[in-house]
Amino acid sequence: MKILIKLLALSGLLFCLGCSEEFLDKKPDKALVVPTTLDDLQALLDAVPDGMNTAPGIQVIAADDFYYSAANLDALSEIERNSYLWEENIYQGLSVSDWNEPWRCIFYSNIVLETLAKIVPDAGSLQQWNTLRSSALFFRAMALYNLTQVFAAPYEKSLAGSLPGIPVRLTSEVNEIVGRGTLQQTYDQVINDLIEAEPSLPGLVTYTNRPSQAAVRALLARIYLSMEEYEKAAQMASGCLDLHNTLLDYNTLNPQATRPFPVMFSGLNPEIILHLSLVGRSFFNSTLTGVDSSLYRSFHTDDLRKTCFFRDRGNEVMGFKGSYLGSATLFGGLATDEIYLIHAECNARMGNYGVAVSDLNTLLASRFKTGTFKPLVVNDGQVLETVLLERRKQLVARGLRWSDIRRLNRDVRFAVDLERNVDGKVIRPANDNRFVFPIPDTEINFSGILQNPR
Amino acid sequence: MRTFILILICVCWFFRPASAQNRTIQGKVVSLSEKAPLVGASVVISHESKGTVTDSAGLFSITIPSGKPTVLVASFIGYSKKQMSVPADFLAAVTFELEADPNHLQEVVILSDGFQQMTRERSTGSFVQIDNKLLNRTVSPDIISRLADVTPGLIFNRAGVTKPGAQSAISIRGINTLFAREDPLVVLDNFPFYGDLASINPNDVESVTILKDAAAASIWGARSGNGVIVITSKQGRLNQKLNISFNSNITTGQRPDLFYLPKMSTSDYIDMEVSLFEKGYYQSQENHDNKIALTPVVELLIAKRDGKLTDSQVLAQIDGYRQKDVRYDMNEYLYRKNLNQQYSLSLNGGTFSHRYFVSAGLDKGLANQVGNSRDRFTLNVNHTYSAFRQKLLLTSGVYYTGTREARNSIEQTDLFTYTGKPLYPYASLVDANGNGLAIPHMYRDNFIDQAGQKGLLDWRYVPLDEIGLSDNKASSMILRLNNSLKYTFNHNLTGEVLYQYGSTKTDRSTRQGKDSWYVRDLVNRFTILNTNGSLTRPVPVGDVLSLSDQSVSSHNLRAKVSYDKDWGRESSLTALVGAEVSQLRTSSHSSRFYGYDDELGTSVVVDHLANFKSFVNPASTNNRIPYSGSITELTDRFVSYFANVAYTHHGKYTASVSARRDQSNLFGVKTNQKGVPLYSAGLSWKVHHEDFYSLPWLPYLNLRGTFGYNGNIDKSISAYTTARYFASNLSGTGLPYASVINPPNPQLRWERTRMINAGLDFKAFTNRLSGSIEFYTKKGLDLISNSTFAPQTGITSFRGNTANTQGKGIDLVLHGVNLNGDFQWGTDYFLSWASDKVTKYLVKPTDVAGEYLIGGGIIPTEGKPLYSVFSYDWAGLDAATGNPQGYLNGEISQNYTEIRSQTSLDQLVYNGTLRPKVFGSVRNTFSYKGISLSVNLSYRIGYVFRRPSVTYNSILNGEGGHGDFIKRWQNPGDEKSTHVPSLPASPNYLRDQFYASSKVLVEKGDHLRFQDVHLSYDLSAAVIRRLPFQSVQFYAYAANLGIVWKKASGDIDPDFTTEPFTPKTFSLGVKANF
Repeated sequence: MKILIKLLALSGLLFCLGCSEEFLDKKPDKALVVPTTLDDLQALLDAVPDGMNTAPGIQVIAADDFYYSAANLDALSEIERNSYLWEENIYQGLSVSDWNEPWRCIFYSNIVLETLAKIVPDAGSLQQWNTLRSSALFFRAMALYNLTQVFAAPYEKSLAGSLPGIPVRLTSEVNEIVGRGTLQQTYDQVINDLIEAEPSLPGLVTYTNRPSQAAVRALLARIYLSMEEYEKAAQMASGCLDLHNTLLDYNTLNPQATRPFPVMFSGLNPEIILHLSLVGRSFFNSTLTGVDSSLYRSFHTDDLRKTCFFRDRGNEVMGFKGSYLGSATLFGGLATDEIYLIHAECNARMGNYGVAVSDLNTLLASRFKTGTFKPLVVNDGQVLETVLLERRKQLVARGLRWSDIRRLNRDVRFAVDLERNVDGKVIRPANDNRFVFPIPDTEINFSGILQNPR
Repeated sequence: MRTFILILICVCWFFRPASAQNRTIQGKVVSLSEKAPLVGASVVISHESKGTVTDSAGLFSITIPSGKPTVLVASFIGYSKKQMSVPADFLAAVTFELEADPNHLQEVVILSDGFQQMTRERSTGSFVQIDNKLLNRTVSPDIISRLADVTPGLIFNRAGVTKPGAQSAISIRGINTLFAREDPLVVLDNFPFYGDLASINPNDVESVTILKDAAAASIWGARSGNGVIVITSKQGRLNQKLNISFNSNITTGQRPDLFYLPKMSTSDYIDMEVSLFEKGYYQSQENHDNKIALTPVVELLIAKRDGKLTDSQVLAQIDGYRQKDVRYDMNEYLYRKNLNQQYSLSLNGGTFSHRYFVSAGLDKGLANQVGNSRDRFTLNVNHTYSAFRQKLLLTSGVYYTGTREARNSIEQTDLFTYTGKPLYPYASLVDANGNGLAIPHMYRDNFIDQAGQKGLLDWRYVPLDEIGLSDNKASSMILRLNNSLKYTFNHNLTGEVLYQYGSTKTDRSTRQGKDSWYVRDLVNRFTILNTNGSLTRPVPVGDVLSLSDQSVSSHNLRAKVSYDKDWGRESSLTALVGAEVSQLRTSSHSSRFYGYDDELGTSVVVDHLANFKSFVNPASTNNRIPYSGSITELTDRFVSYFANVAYTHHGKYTASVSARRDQSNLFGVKTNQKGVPLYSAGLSWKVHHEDFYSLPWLPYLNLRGTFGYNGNIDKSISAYTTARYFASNLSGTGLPYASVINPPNPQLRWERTRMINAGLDFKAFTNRLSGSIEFYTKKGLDLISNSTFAPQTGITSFRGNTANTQGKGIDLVLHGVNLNGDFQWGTDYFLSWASDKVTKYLVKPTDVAGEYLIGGGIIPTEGKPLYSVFSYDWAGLDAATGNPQGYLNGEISQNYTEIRSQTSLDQLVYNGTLRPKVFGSVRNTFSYKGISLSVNLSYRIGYVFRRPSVTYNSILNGEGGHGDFIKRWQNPGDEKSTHVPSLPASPNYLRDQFYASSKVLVEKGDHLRFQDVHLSYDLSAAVIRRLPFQSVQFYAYAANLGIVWKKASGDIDPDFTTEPFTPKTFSLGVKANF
């Protein structure tokens, strides 16, 4: 019997070994982490391949930067063709990255914010803690804003309180569904988060996938512009340029190259404030996709953009090759060229014509062949028009044109008449509703949030 | 150090001499009726486990204690036991005469579930044992393939997706899971074995037991859901003289039949190239930025167009090509007959207190592909030492396996003209003198010539010259140390502690020689041509060496206490309780060196971060020198508790209960603690022991039933938000990053399978017919699968315990003794029927055709088997155009776009399942004197397969295609005799897809296969007596002998649709015992 007791003691020992929490707390895979440290959170925010720095690109197809050879429309994917023709039902039940990717960014941001709330920083880590919190707020705001530009109605102060917005998700809990709220609530969240984020961010950053104060100001400038809050936009643009105003001299580029602009993250394009790529579509790189011919013709022969941006794809198709990412992927991030143009437009609208023209001249001086640029002299009455034309020329294929059309259409002077010629028929977006993309079917089916009228 | 001590202990035990005051008794065991010697009868000392067996003449010798009377018991299958008391000073010979007893014809089968051993009589669960004889019927270098087609309920999946990381392609009783591992747990000598199954030497295996139902397997808990295969190694026997066994065989297999998969003829291929050339198809390729290679015919046509060659020159050359088929060259130079040699030598024996088994094995294998080989060396030493009047048993074993593998073959993909473009059929690998010829590969000849003039390395690709330029090898070392300590406290109570340490180390090295095309290409692509004409080479000219190593170490510690009580009158109780702790750690590293010099072991540092312009395509500027460097470390830990009780009453009724609880680090502790234990219960009833039973023709009738739960694990998910780190070279930014792979899931738990098993065992007609039939039903519960989430949550799908499945089946086993006498004929038959269906799955398809017909993955569908095959309804070919026709909303249609987007799941035709519902085999064994012939036919019924056919997309891209091309519709009227559509004017992907996914290409897979035949000859006792052997057997074996009958038309083997069928193999061997 004694021996039995000894044996029981032995097995008891074994049981205790097993009970030890540490034994079963071992990570099954070293590369796996349950994110708990500040470095883990930074790594999550650095997840460029996971959509942290990705914006919708589908709106490029629906805008007027590019035209597609009408005879070959069948070669486009269903989503591309439907977007191009502003069809009522675009997605045919398929999953849409343009919608999904920003939400992944918001999910990551919320995980970071929630985890930060559980970490009490000490003196040594306080600064990193604050930067991470601000970065997460920035990413969440940016993704939310990018969604509004495609999937919600354009901002109009009088209507924003009654139009549906984009769900404001402040939690990573996947079982919780958030309704759309109002457009005003969405914009308020975006702007408040950005304002809250700014102070703790570095002024400038080495890794352009990470946000900075310059990026906050640039993004706010872009947002206020879309809200037609020109004064605030001008203020933000000028604040951004105070921190970062360098331009890329296009004379340093090789216009013959297939990709004239420096490769992303090489640090060789001084204009880039924040890296964002647009969700890719084969439409963008097809040999049958050409830039709007009148837009192409509007470039002066000495304007280096004409050769750095475009290449002849045969059949009178001028394809786009000028992505600031130096690759086939389109750039949709923040860069100083856009900020100069926002500054110029807002000042033109506020009557500061001299400032506006001077902005344009600063920008254009770096776009023309050395020695050929003659500074613009423009009548006051023409300044705004000139700025808008330069905006269109400089920001081709940045994903911004769609927002611009939605904004400009409210002003008869600058309204854009979109049209497609298919089989001899002229197709136009039937009404304002076609300027808002429907929410993807996968979202409606599983969350039941309100669909946009179409 | 620890390892060393263990080895030392083992060695010490091994050489420990036995000592006792003993005498030796000689004797003989014969049959009462004929006085014929009984070979292999056992003679034991009553109430002790010591004993011996009779030799080929029925003789035995046994050592018994001197000075006191001893009772010996002799027994033999099919005979009644007999006892004899040997007086204290008796030293003469004894003879046992045993009486035949038809009720005891069946040998007492000892089953092992990896925890305990039990007799079949006392088990309630579903076990199959493959004994040593049956295992040795098959000749193969590995053990696991020897289970094929002899094991009821177990199938080797040939079609249907086998999951990556699976140890084997085996399913036991159908599917039990959707996305977790579906291969059974393998237990080797009491502990789970996760290594390479090919490392186990089959000559060292005593028996294999398959645990199929809950009662049998639930003792393995969370890992038993797919069934368990228990492999038991050979051990020595107490009181046995040294026995030396030798086994050697040689196996050769035919070359794979390269012509089995029909291909478009060379002439048709060339015609297509000519016609595409005329349409200007190759223009874009001719001026491609990547300078892509063109086939010789296209190059000739370009030369003709450019006036460099005359029409007649070109025509003559092309006509020469038409006669060629590169498969002849490939067959000759890239393939060979395979050759496997196997040698095995073992020694075993034992004394009163010590038994041992030592074996060494060598396998050398040359594969069908020239350049590939695999060698294995195994060494096993195990022994058991008993002390304190056999109360203490110490067992230890050292098992070593070393393998060496070379993989230097030239694969089909190596010969591609450029990425994605298969080799053209008129290629020649050798010239008239047998010297290797260059083929266009990746780049055009004119580009290669220009590059050569600029001083770049020779860029030509000569496939045969590549053999031997590189060295791709892997070697592994597997070591297992087993130790157990067992103490019998009294008659009833036993305690045992077992410990196993396992270590596997695999080193893989791929050295691409500096003259290999791989290195020349890499160097050239990165070469910078300076303005002064000089060259800069960021990738140095030298070997490229890639190294990776993986080491796996495991510790298993188990303690158990068992209680056995025998009340006589065949009433007994067996109980077992214990706990187990285990850890399995895998770590691996990889690295790569450039400019490696194999003589000196030196390498050159290269810049992995710089962007280089491609020499081939200057527009491609962001090329980086490939980097490889990784470290992974995985740790699995388990803590388990288990208990098992079985009670038999009067030999008639047996009840058993077992339970187990597992905890692991895979899910996180909290989840484990909430987990429910897995358990099972079973009953059996020996009906023939009842007083009321009176069926003389059916002397044995046993009914049994079990119920219980098994578990399964999916290692990929966790209860916590988990992220995976990725290295900085993958992010684009140069920063490492983390990716969320798992949102939090506090509800996560084990997958469970609930199984009910009912069985009946019988022996009838004086044991001429025996067998069993089992029915089972099972439910897969809480299976881990996907569910769709609204994208606004940041995830689109989520893995959790959301799916259920259902299954049922029958296993029927029959053994018939058809003829008994000098000429014996026995038949073993089994039939297994297994069906499954998914009963709950939350993801609904969004793109029906895309997912069910084209995707090819596993798409669970509620109400259907997991491996379902769907197809489009087929309305024949259009009589005017030869276009394939389907149905759109009930109307015949050729609108493939609409058919693809409009057809819903219920409009698709459901054809059946990819995996056979019914399978089995019939094995007939004939023997006469020493000659034995065994023939096995296997069959698979109730499944379908998709027959490959033409896809014009590849044909119209000049890539050739399926041999059905010749059967295509060409003229009106052809639609009556063919279903192969006409050649369209331009590629139409959807039309191809429609045809490929239509029901006309789905065929029934049912077939009967001549699996193998085994012939053996044992030298007769008369001959043996004059030789220094106990027994000698010569044997011959042939496998994969072809299909006897099949339902599908044509030459296709239903189980081999995309690759050549397994070639026939022939073996010869000899086995001897000294």
